[in-house]
Amino acid sequence: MVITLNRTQNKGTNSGNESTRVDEFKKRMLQWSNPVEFVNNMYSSHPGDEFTEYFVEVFGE
Amino acid sequence: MSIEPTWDDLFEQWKKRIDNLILEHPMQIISWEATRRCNLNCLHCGSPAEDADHAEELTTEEIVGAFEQIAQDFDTSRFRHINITGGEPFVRKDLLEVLRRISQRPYYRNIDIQTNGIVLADHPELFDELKQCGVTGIGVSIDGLEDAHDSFRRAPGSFAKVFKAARLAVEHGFTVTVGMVAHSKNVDQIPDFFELVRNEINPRIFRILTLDPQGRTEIDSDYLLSPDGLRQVIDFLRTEYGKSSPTYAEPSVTMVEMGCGGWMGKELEGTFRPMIFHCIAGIINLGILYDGKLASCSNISREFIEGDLRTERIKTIWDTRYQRYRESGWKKTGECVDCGEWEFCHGGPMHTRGIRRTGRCLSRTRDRALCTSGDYSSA
Repeated sequence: MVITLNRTQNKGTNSGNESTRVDEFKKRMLQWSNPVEFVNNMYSSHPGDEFTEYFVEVFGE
Repeated sequence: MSIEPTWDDLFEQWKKRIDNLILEHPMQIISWEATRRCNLNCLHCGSPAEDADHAEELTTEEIVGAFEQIAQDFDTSRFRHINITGGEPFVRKDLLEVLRRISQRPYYRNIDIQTNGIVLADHPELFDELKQCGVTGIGVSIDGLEDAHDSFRRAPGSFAKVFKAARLAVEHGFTVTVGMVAHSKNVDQIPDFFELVRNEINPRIFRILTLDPQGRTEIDSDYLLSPDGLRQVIDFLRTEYGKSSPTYAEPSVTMVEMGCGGWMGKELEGTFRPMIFHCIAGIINLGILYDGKLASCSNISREFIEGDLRTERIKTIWDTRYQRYRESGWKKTGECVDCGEWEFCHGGPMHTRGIRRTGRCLSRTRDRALCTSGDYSSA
């Protein structure tokens, strides 16, 4: 079953392929164990090399 | 046969994890406002020096003692990192001494510093020392192209210095964030500015912050974004994120994001920045302000002070005084009352809240709350 959003998810400037990939990344974010893994306070830089798993898992192949 | 979850299923699971995190509220991030003093006098500053009593600034021994106390009382296995903000942190003469001492503990060796870059540009020898003290991230603020930045900062030449500092930080291997405050006078520059930053600095993160009515920015300021201006910001981010996010696993790629910019709705979240947003203030984030007052982050209205580390133990305050961040029904006013997504955002980022001036969410566009996904979708 393909997950689709029913209103404006695909609206805008993203192409179809881009939207599919963005949706896949979004699914991975929603399933990540720590729901605020990347969320930081606005003045922070993101943690360094020790905490790269999130990006590899969410945006990797 | 397994059935794949629907979006609603996924968001419900995500919400349960948020609810559990709120219930548990493990302290993982310490935001230390090192000082309110600054070597610039920016037009938009949210933490202006004139609102502070600098004689009350924590001493070297007091702030080192606070980190020691936290190490004794909290579960250090949960720590993630320390954010150092200001004011301008590098005007504290003892900054390196503080860093040297606290970073003796291995869980205090993931530190990032938010700076205007002036001192680092003039003293590049500091980068090596910072690395030795556990600093991994440098965040700089650049608010558009040279003229826009220098006029907003009220400091000719500041663009060149911050640009130099950011490039040097990348060269020295720090995780660098370039933060841009988007406002009505620079919003048109965002695409060109982003290209310049990506090509000439190549930071890990290009973060857009929307200007909020805090500090020197009044709630009726002409600089606040209009709803159309906000839409420009989101459109830029969606377009760039859509193109480049498949490469974000590679550390040398510049990611775009909107920092702490509020809950944008289930449809937009996860499509324009590499996260699903929920405010972490008072849930996993502790704010130590320049004078030892405790808050939920360092960028928050001083109406929300939960205690004073000079008079009470930090753990006691964290455990007993932060209910407003963990039971957020009091924020359900105004536009939030009829929003169908309250249970996901719980009222959005705390830094947009203020009692003194409005008693409700300090909307970040001139007309209305920024967060409404319907507002964007109806364009």
